[in-house]
Amino acid sequence: MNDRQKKTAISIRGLIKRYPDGTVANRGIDLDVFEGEVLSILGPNGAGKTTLVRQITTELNPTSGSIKIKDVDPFLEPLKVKQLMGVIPQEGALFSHLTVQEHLYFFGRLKGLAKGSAGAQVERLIPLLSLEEYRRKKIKNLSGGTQKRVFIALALLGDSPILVLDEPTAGLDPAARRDVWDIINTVKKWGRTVILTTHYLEEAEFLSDRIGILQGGELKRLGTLEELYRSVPKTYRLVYSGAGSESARNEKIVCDAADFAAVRKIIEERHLAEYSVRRLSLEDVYLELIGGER
Amino acid sequence: MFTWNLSEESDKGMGLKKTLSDITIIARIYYLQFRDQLGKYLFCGFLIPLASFLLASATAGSERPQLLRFFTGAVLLSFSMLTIMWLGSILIEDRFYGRLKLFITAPLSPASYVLGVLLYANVLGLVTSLGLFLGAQILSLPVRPQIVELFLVVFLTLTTFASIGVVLSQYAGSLQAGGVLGDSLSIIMIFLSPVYYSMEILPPGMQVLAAFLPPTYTADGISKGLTATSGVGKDILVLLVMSVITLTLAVRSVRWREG
Repeated sequence: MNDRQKKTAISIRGLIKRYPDGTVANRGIDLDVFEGEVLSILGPNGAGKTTLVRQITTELNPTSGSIKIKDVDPFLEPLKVKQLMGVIPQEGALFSHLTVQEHLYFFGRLKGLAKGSAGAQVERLIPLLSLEEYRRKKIKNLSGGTQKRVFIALALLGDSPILVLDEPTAGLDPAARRDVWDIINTVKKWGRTVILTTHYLEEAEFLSDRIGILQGGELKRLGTLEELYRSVPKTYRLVYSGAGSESARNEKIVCDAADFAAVRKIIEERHLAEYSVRRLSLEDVYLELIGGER
Repeated sequence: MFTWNLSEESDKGMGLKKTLSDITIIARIYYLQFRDQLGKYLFCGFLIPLASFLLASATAGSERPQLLRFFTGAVLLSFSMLTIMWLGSILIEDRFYGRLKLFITAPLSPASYVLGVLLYANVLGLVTSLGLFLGAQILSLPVRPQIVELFLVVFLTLTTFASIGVVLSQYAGSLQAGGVLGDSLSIIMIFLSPVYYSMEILPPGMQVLAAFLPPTYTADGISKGLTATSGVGKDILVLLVMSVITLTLAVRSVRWREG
């Protein structure tokens, strides 16, 4: 299915956000997020990722340009848009005095669910997110990873078709991060649209259908992982030791090549006996695309 | 006529039923803090006001009019500590710790949020005032309460004070600044109003200032309501105007959207 045939969940056109101090955080972003896809937004600190997300979630007015969420304008009908979206805000926190099930029930009701439906969703989401043993525990007694699972459960309330996750695994240990990835993959299988920002490149690689790279407020690249690989001229890395003196032998020589055939040619030309070859990682591609800025 | 849009963020598709449900949910979320903060509530709502009453009575005499004045002061202190200081600090923490984000990203209008907070403050304050008025009976204060008048004075005062707490929480530049501002404002308001003394002994300039402060009318309304004296209607009217103004300011101060 090509892009023209896919249904658009979020449509962004010419989005510019200029803050009162003159900082331009988003510079004319055009982006379509398709129904049922996971789109990751990567970028160095200050690239404008959270600004973009906050405009999608109606928290921030754009300076110019337009956003449509399922054909609804978030600035004219913010409450309607908020019913279409489940959000994990980057700097959000839970109410420490509420239990897990109280959170889910109350915020289900705020999402517009009737008492019975809110209760039913609590019963459905608690086992789904492995929160059974914590359901009557107050938030202040939970670990960061468990709290993140509660956040995800909150975002899933009301069966919102779109999930906006702003750095959903920030600050989690690797095991907790993997748990969150599994949940996002499950949600993806349900056909939900997910837009997430992250600093973890392996997270974007593992979860995404497409990846967008923001830099200096501009969407520098947008595409599938393969398309991103193809957008850099050299995608293979050959590493070998120098020849001759001991210091030369200790020196590691790194050589990037366009494809595997080019790597083989270098190996043959230089008569290399010991070497390592690997395909560039998303991190290498990302650093190449953003010019080394972090 | 003061008006505010219940659906400042365009409530298309959100009926009155959803709005009322949202208001009660917000009130319940704040109410559940009692499980952890009962001690703080008793401290702010009863212990400190009672201590202030006993201290004032011990040092300034126990004549009937003075006792009533001190009791009224204790009620006002209780209200201001519960709403402007305590509730204000909770709302400021919600904003700076990121809990408010949960409401901002939910399909909830700012007006529903403010009204939910006010409902919580009113239930809390009304229960507290009931306890305090019962305390007046236990302390053998010579009171003949006018229930309806007292209820209106208490309700309008709590609405005004809680609205001030909401406004403070939205404009505070930092957690610390908000705390200091809330504490200072509630104490200054009580001491600049003729609560512990009569209006006549205030300098003329301060009398003008006191005329614009809600505690002036609360103190007068409560003392008249407790002694079945006529004239509470004027206090209720002024408090009604003040509560509408502060409530409007509170709703307008809450912005779910920046820029």
